[in-house]
Amino acid sequence: MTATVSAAEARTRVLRGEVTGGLHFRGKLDLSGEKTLTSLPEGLCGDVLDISDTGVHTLPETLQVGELVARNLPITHLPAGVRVQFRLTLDGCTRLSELPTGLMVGSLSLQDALSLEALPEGLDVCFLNLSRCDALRGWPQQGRVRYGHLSVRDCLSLRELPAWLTQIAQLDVSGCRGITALPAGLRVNGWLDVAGSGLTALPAGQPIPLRWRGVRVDARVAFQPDTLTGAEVLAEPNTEVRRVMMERMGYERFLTEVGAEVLDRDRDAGGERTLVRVPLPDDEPFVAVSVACPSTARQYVLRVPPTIRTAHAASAWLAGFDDPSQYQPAIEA
Amino acid sequence: MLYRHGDVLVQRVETLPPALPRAGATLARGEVTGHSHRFQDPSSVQLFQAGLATYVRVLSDAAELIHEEHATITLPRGDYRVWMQREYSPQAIRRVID
Repeated sequence: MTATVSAAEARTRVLRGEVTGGLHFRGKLDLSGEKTLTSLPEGLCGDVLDISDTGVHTLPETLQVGELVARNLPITHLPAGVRVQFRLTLDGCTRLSELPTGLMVGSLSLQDALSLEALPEGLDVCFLNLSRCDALRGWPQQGRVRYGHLSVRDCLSLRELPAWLTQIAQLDVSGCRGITALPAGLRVNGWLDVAGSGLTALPAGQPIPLRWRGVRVDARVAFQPDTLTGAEVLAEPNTEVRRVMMERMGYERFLTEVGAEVLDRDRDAGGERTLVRVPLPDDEPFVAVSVACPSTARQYVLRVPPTIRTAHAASAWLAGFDDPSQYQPAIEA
Repeated sequence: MLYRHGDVLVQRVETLPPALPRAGATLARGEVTGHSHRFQDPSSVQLFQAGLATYVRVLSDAAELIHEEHATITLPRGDYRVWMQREYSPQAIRRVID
């Protein structure tokens, strides 16, 4: 007979290593941040379990919970016996490479699971977050994402979505350069985020509302940026839409069309470098550095915080240095 | 010692922080253009992950960091932190502050 205890009592017992023969807890058992916790007892079962940022390296086959939050764990696989009913969060488990066949859960989040190359056969979920799963290439032959949301944001290795995907509410393929088409039978009811994806037009016959990294845009901004003008950008009252329009038309063309004040000029490994500024109506000014790549000689215009005053400080900021004196690259290529 | 390979930055570190080994020789986050920043000889390096921070240990005397569009950078034996160039947008910064 397994005892049923409060989450607080379960926490004390688990941390003391006193659990043998199973433990049923009520409520949320929060063990997050307990670095010395490296394993869980057999037979743990309850409502919500949070073991994020602990040293837990394998999960027991017998674990059964309503919700499991397991962020940033060094686990490499999820055992087949683990049962999670509603929500399973494995974000930041960068070594995770294997999930069990037939995994079924309401919501599955695998953000930043950098080692995950494939999803399991028979996966069955409503919400699936695969953002920044860099290595993910394969989809199972059979699987379901039922009517919910699918995010494959910045999945750099993905080349397609599975043919079994038929109807979902929200689809985020932003950053997926390799995705150039959606499955023929797929219907998206809510919105489609296409920023930086390989899609070049709306799916035929589907007037899906579009987003660009979360900002609502029309198909012209998304797919025909060549038709945008600098004057149009300056006249756009919504600052978020204006930002996307500038990015879409290209900062270089934007600067050429609207005219910019040069704040600073110097030289780096690529040649001349200029810091420029364009005032924007009802918004902070657009400040950007124009540089040439030392390898390709191609010109890039990169936006920086409006407080920056020198071209070197701009390059330093882009490289991640808030203190420009720290930025002295030995080799640039 | 700081190296810049396109939008990837690589800096020598004295010691590797607690980190777990990771497969591959591609600094995948540099792959935004479909091209990749990667090491010519995968056996010359070991990648490590400390949370979301990436590190690389050069196991041989030198390892060549290559890319389709950038000149090769040769890294001497040692440990390095690897990160991507950032870009500014008022919206993104607001999101970070939230």
